Amino acid sequence: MNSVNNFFNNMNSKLEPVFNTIEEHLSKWTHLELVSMLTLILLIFHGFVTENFDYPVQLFFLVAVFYRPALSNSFAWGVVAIMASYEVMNFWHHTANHKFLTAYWTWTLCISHWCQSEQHKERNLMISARFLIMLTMAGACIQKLISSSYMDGSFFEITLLTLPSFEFLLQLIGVDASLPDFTKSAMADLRSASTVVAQSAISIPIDATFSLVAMAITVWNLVIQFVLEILCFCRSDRFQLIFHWLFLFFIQTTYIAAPFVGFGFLICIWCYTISAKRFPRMSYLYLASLLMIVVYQSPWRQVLF
Amino acid sequence: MNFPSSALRSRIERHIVLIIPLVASLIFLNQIYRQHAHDLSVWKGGGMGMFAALDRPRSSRFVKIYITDSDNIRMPVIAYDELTYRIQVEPSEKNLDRLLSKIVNTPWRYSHQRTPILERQKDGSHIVLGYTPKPTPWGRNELIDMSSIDIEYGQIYFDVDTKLLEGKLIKERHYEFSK
Repeated sequence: MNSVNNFFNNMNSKLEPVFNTIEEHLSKWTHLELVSMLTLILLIFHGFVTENFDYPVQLFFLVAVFYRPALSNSFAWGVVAIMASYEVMNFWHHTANHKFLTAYWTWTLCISHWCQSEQHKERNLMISARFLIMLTMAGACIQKLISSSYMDGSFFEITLLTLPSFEFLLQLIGVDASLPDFTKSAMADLRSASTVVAQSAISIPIDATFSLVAMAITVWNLVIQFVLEILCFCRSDRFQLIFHWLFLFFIQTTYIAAPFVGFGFLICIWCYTISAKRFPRMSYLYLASLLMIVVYQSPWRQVLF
Repeated sequence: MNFPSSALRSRIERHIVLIIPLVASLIFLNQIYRQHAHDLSVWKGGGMGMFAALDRPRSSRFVKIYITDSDNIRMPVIAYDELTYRIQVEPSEKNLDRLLSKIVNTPWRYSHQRTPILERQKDGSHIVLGYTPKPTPWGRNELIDMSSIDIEYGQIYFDVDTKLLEGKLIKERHYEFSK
């Protein structure tokens, strides 16, 4: 235990100049301003379905870069929130769940900036960020538990083979290179109106090791989300610290394996929001995670394999 | 004089924080309801169910459409349509009826192209069983004298014990043209 403490103390003292530099730069921003700017960056890179949303957000971003008080304009955030809600409602068949969350978050910023009292601004931001984290984790757990294809492992067995985002993981665990294409073509043939498939069934040559890995990912994914949900309820410093370390671990392990950047970016902003005042140094790790998530998108996997 | 309005504003500011959780929870509950009542995909509708079920609209759900002409040739309709996608997202009876009505009321024509009818082999290769005319809603070619229309909605399931990927038919629509 002592050696662990010593290690962390050593790390802390070595990183002191780094933390001080970050602190100095961040002190030029208010908490709400920085969260607003991060959200604006998220909206620029991972906005909504149509381009109609992009132009006003880009304009807002440029104005905010040169005139920072614009970031605190509740009217501007209201316009963004209305457009985000329109995009979600009008194209809901195409909209992924994290876009709903992004729309809720833009409303949170609009309301926070509208509040006059600093205390209410902060309270609104913190409550909404914490609620959205909890809704995401609880929703994910509930959906997985009531799903007919999650707990038996079938979801990850097929999804790992058919989603391009998991190619890296498949290479890492040494899956036969032809299996993903075979599975994708099997899915395409079952969907096709012009292909006859005997008994509408195709055997997929998956070995026991792959099934075991898929089941391990299935269990891990559910357990970590469940534990994060429980820890989020516990408000003591100790549990909150465990929550943040675990969340950082979840973010890093999830997004290094499969870069679903938009959602990763959003949860980093929420976690930064709830940790910035209470655990400032921990919150820098979320800012670093934002950078790492962007780096993970680079083609480093293709270089390695 | 300012006091009542600032007190009211303060009260609003204190309670307005409940709006986002309330709206988000209602949308979540609506998704759960529609998932069970109308088979809405877990991946859509704001229910936080991504990576929770093998029912991604475009990859695990399918809509097959066939037009049979007066010579009894059954032609698959291979065309992406927003309504077809909506059925893959939420295969409600209403959506299926709307698609059927749209197809029935479209003047389908024979196109110059032909659709190969394939048969999948165990090793994943295909053999061509034959060709059928490809129906199209565009152009000035000969109109198809339609005798019937079939729509099949289904979902792909995977059995972890047998390692079988199966396409199961869930809902159908059949329309006979009266002569």
